[in-house]
Amino acid sequence: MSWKSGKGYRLRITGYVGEVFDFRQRVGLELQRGLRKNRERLHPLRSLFWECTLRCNMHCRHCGSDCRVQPEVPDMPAEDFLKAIDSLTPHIDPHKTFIIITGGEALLRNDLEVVGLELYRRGYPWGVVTNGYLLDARRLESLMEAGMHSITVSLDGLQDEHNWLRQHDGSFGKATEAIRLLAAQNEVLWDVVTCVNPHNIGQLAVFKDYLAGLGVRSWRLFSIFPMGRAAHDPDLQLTDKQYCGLLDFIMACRENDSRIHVSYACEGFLGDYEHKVRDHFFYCRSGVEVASIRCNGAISGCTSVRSNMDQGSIYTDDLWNVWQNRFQNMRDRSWAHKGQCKSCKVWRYCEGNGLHLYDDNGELLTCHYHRLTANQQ
Amino acid sequence: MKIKILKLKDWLILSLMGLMGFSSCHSTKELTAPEPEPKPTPKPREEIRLMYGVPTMDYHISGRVKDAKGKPVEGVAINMLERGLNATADTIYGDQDNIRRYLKKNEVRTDSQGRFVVNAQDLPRESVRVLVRDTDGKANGEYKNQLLEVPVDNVDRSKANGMYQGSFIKVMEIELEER
Repeated sequence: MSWKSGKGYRLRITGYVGEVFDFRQRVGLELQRGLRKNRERLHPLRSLFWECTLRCNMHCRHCGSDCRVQPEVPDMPAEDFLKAIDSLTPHIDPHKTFIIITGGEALLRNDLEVVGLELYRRGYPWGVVTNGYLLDARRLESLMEAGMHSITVSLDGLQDEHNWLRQHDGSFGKATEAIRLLAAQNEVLWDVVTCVNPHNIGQLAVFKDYLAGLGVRSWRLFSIFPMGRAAHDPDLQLTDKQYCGLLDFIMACRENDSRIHVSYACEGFLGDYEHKVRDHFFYCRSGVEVASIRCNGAISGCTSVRSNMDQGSIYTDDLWNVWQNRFQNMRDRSWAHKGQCKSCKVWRYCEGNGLHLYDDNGELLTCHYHRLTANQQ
Repeated sequence: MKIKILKLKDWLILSLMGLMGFSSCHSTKELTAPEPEPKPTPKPREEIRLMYGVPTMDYHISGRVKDAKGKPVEGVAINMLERGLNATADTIYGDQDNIRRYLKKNEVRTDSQGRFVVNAQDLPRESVRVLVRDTDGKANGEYKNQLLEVPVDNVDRSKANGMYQGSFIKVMEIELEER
């Protein structure tokens, strides 16, 4: 009997949860559940997002899909952020905590290299998420000199589709050039992310070939969750059928195309697609392994989580103390066992989806698993 | 103890998942670029490029602590300090509870012959700071604290490879001044 799903024999088990998984997949899910419970108690801080600015050089259709953009919020002074970092350093191994600098558009900060070098000197690996518009050869060189470990560039389809989503006619050209620069070096880890929507889903295969031609080796695909500007825009939301098609596409790429490693984003329990469209089982790491410092100093889990779940502020609290002693609602999701989750047969593995998908009233806005099962019926 | 048990459980689950062919976290294997040739003679620190990961070096600092008369001093606390700490010989700035815990966790103490050994792993540096503190009151004498800047030179790079930049071995003779 082969362990691998879909090859050789598959021992399928319908357990008390009423869902049909491979035996191997079921064991993996149970182990992941045990790991999650363990990590909730250990809460090792593995990733720290810094929302370094809310300024942006674009006006993307879907932005504010994960935060309310308030450009009147000033950039956090670098020394404030580094002071918060210094409160962590005595308690952790910096080499194991990855600092991810995001925004707005992070490259709008002219002191990014100064901060990056300070992080590097303290032993923290760090990376940047960017739309690529400002990433020319000179800037890439200076970021690398400052010790940048990795970078993610957004590219949301071929020219028309990308520029449509970004609402900026020059953005495709600039992002593509940035990707070419990254492909020409081998010192910094990098990948490309794409927000899949009804305008670009039909061209994913062609787009994949384009990316492979640019030298992209790692590609992550996101669906746009219904927040902010995206909440009521039907042009941005995939149908259930399209969503299943996206996952099928990813699965096929992983099985058949060795040029480029394709993955789905981290969100959502995906039922039978678990561990087939990404390299790990789902679990929401917000507040368990992931924290963030927002532009206004608020401390939270993932930056995509709404501000009503903020745990404190670096201006009034010690960051390490907050990480150690708060985040209870992120480390114990029993409060989310309500509504559509109450009777859900896969609650055990999901525990209420990603926290960024809850509105200000604590209600879950969307369930990936239900989308998939609804489409199968 | 509880933390150790949780970490052991973590390791066991990860091992089992690995045996079954599952990854438990975002894999970065696919992002690994071809490893560059090892650089046995690195460029000056400010020109060191970060490849993938963080460069590390082993630090082995040992020696003997004695007083002005050459007598060994027992019980002296020795720490190799993190770069980010703002410190003088008598003060480390920051949350004092956290600082105390940090120092306690990372310190070694001299034995009856005044000997000590510090083993650490850290970024490659041009120098390291060694904090020497008399923390046992009147026992063994009373001496002034010292914060010593030790140049990192003569690094053994015979085993340097990729991120690992070699080892620094230093033997020190530290003379304490009475308060």
